[in-house]
Amino acid sequence: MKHDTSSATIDAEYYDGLSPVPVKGTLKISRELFFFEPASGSPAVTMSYGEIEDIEKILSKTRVIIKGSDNNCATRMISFTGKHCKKLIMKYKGDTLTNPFVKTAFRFKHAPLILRSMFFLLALPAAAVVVYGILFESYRLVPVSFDKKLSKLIEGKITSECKPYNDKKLNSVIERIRKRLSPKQSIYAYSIKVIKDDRINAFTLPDGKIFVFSGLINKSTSPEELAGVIAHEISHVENRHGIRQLIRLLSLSVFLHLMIGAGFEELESAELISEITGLLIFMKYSREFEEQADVQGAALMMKSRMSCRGLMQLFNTMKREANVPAVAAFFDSHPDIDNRIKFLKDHVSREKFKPQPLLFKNEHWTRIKKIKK
Amino acid sequence: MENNFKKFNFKGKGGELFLIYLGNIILTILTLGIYSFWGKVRITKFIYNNTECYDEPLNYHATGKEKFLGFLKALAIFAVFGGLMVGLYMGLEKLAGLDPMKAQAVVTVIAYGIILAAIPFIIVGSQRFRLSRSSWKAIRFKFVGTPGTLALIFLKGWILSILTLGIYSPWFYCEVRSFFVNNSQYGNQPFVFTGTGKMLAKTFLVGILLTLVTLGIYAFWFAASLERFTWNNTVFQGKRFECTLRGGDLFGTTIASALLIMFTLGIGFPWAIIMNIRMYLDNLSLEEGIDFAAIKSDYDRAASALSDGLSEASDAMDAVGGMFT
Repeated sequence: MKHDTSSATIDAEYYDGLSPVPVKGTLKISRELFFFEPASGSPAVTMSYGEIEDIEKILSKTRVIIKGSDNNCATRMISFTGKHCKKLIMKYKGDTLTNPFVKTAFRFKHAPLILRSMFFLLALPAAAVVVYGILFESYRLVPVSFDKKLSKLIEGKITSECKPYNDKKLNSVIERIRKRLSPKQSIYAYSIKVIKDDRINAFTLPDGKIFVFSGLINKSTSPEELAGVIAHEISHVENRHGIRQLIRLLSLSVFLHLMIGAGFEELESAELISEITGLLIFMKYSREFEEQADVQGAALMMKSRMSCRGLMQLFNTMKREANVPAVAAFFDSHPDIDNRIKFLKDHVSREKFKPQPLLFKNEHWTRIKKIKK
Repeated sequence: MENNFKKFNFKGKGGELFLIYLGNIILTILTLGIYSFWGKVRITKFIYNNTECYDEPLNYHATGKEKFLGFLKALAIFAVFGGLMVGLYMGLEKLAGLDPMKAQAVVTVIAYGIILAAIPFIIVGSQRFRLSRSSWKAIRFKFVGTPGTLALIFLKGWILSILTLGIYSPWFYCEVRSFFVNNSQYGNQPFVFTGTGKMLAKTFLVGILLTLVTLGIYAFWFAASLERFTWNNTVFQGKRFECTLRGGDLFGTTIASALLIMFTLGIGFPWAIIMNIRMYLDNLSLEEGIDFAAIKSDYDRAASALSDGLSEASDAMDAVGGMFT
């Protein structure tokens, strides 16, 4: 007689979902249905493969989770030991699935370890590409008009919190700098405003609005120093560093949240570690942008026939004035100031043109830069 | 007569969890985050299925789909809420002619008030969802606490803690614990919390003082004694739980898992998780003699994934917002 492999019988325990006490008996598996026959001789329970919610293998036991039979019973369960029956039940369950997506997911979930590992190895580069794309290239999908809208939003906050400073002579020099440095084919309309603040700093909105602190002007010894800073800021705008930074920050935090949040809420230290990692990665890329802006800013200065000697001078002043502890420097988003000075020194030594001055013969920077109280 | 205790067991291996975790990461990235809901379910299932009590594992029945839908609903609620608040601001400023600063202050107060009022609903709803999707021997757990009770416990706790300069804290702790324990059921049978503030007062006093004196190191021993107190005062059908966790376990495991994660650059993460779960479960046992025949199913059919989605969504926003502050 031919042995029938399309059906099987095995000792099993049946949990009816109404009482935690299992019923011992026999599980009978056939292609269309499966049955549980209690050993006590009570009537058999008939179930279809469509009713199976899940099949779990825990150690040697297979547990089949089945939809509940009535309102008070959420799920039932059959538990047994035996490879052949597990395979059979898995196969028949897979056959009843019609949605190809669900079917693939089911088959994959229960596929041998080696197969799943191979899939992961193949999928890993794809995942890396997606992460790279989101972190570094997705800004290309954001229209420039968004940069402008975002800038408007921030500008409102700045104008309400910062004091503007206006001086006719200073403004005329700044206007000269703006005209000479604005790239010809730029899609951005640059504007430069002075803010009354003693710190040596400057910042830019993504739409080309540059803000210079009066402290920086005060410390500068020539308008070329100011021009060097503005060239740096213009490079930020031209490369859309602002929006790229924002996208990186957002996607990195979402990404890390998803990684940690994958069911591991118990381990709180993990969240902390992920936050620090995120911050470090973020800082590193901020520095990358600063370096790029330094390089392109210097090129822009050269193109506009201005020397970077001034900017180098300003960095030297900043280095003297700033007393940054080593730990803070590690977290600073700007590159190491010594490296920046070294880069500019290098650049200046290659400047082989006659600089066009920003000031007219009768003008004196020390008088122009003087910030009135 | 003293009964025997049956230990809880955790049988999961780091390697298996690592594979699940790796798969989750890859699929989460490839689906731009959507898979994370299914991924979370897989990990919870792994942890439940490998946790044995009376040699029977726990089961977890939530689906990625219901969690994802709960999350989408939560996002819609957030959007409507945000829209209403903006509308309110515009109304106050433009129609009522209120000063923008004042209008902003009013809207902020109202928004915070609503969020604060929603918190107990979210906590209770999430707990209901979690327990209704957890089972043991095919019988579901159930949470029957109400948000109003929880809100009152917290309101009373905060006020009394301030008025008594913190002396009320152990009683507050017990009120919160008993809310969660007394309102939990396995089938139709409740868990009971027998701890009182008086029993805990000394532990609290010693715990806080020593934590201060040892610059925080004693916090591990304090946390362990709280854990022991909670479990040792939890009773099911008159049978006690017993927890033998010690401060040294907690301290050692925390240090070891932190080192493991650091030195493996994060790859050791799943092993660290297993180490932590093992530590808790190896120290937990339940007295023998449960009358299983007396237990009947009492399934919480109304428990929904919405609160779960709300807490997921606010967690996500918190994580994103946290990077900016």
